Amino acid sequence: MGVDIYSNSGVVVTAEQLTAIVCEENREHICRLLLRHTATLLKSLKSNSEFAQLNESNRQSQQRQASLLTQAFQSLNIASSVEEIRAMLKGMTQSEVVKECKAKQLEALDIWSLLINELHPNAPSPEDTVFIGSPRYQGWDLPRGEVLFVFRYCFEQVKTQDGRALDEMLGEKTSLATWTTYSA
Amino acid sequence: MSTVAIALESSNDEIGGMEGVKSRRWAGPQEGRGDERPFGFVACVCKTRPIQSMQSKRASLNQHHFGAPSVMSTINVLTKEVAEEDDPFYLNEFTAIDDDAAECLSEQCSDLQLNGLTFLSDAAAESLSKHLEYLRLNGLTSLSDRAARSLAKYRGDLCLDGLTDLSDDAAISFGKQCCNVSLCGLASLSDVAADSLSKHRGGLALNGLEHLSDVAAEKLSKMEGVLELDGLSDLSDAASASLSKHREYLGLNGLAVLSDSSAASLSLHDGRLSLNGLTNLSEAAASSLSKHKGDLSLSGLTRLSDTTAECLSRNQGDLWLCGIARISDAAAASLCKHHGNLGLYGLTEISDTAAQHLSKHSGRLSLYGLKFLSAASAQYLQSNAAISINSSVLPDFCSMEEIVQYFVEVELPPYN
Repeated sequence: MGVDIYSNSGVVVTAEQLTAIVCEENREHICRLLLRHTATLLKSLKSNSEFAQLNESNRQSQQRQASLLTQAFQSLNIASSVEEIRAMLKGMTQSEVVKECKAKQLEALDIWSLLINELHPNAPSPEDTVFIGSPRYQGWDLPRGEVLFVFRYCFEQVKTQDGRALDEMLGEKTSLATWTTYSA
Repeated sequence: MSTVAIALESSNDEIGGMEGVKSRRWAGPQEGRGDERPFGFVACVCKTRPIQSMQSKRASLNQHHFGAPSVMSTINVLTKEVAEEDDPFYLNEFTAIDDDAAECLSEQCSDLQLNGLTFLSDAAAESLSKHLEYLRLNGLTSLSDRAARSLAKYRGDLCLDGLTDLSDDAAISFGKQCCNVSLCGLASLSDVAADSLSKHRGGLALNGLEHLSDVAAEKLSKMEGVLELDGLSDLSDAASASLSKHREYLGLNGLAVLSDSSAASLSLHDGRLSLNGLTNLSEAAASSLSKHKGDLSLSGLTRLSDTTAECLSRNQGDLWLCGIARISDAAAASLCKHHGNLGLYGLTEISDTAAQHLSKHSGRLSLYGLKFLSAASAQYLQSNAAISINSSVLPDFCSMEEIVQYFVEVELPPYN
């Protein structure tokens, strides 16, 4: 038994920030996208109940996502306003159940990825979610009490003059190591 | 673990089919250090599991093992006993064949798959040449001239996609053939071989060729029958001009770019022209290709400008644009004027206006890719019996409430 400690890094973005992708110009497109995605999932689940094409893992994942969509976007229609759509998108990760369940957070992440891929195909999709409960253990500079979306590969490291001099001295290419110190 | 003696190595759990199986002839003693077998010998080594574990009774009956310190080598011989079984079609697990087994199989009329064979005797080739229908020998990487002469007499579809080179004599033999032959393992073709193959009457697939000389193109253009050159990623203007004289299906699906002058040349081609590798088409090229007399397949295009649609609508054969996922109303208005069959399999959504335009198309129109259709669009498209739509297309829902009611029988767990 013991405590495993992992060090993570990346750009973390709140759902509130992500809702900036919704605007008047793409409002109807987003509505149709979410409605069609939901219908496609339900069609697949319905077909599966008739023909059993999905494996259990895929079926459960589709069920979770269809549940999320039909409940978080219950009042969605093609006339929904920008503010209404933003509120529904934020609502996906606001309940206490979702804050405590990684699997449900990842279903929400998939919905955000769907929208980002369609609306901004050159932008990255979030790779993970994180919920910061204790700043002492998890980091002081992160928003607390809400599900955050992590984009990992937004920066690249460039070797400094010191780094290049160290490589030259050692006769090999050095790489950057990361570690975490744990103090009980 | 030594793998130097491997002639066939399985890259997945299946050793039988060609899928995932890479064939390699054991070329010389320098590759076979530590093993005393003569080079040119071909063995089968199953790296992922011993061949004894395969379920096939046939496999367990006919293998000869060659002891090696760290690998298990097996030749799995197809004998007359197996060939006489009721269902001797999928015989890909066999790496060698007895001459009398080949003789026995020649009397069968079937799709005969012998893709595991890495060597074929002249006698076996002569026997198999009498077989009818479909013969696949894709494991052979080389063929004696005599065996080639025999197989050239074959009267069905012949696949020899493992051959990596073709002697001039073998090319002469296949040039006299009048069936479909696939030689997709050839990466290059001499002008002499091209000249010989140009006399071939039947389909010829040379999809492994990455380059084609202008002379070879000129020679092959005289061929009567389907010509597949899908491995070519570029084509000189001179080669395009030559190939335009070919009169049958011409497959150039590897071309990612087509110059305006090549397009102008290929527009003179009379027959089905397949350019599915093109993802973009200049307006000049589209204008040229619109004059092409015959079916035209441009299914690599993912976008269709209004001008390109207007040009292509003048094509007088069947037109395949299966990569287009969305279409503007103006493009639909142009394409509805096209005479001939129109394939828009990739279209996943369509506006009511575009549906109204396309409903006026005079030939057969395939729209199997549509996943959602509004009531108005459905009404337009269903008014034309020549338009095919997937029967499982969904209504284009306007609210989540409609969706939940439509799929009321699907039970979902609570989310929050």
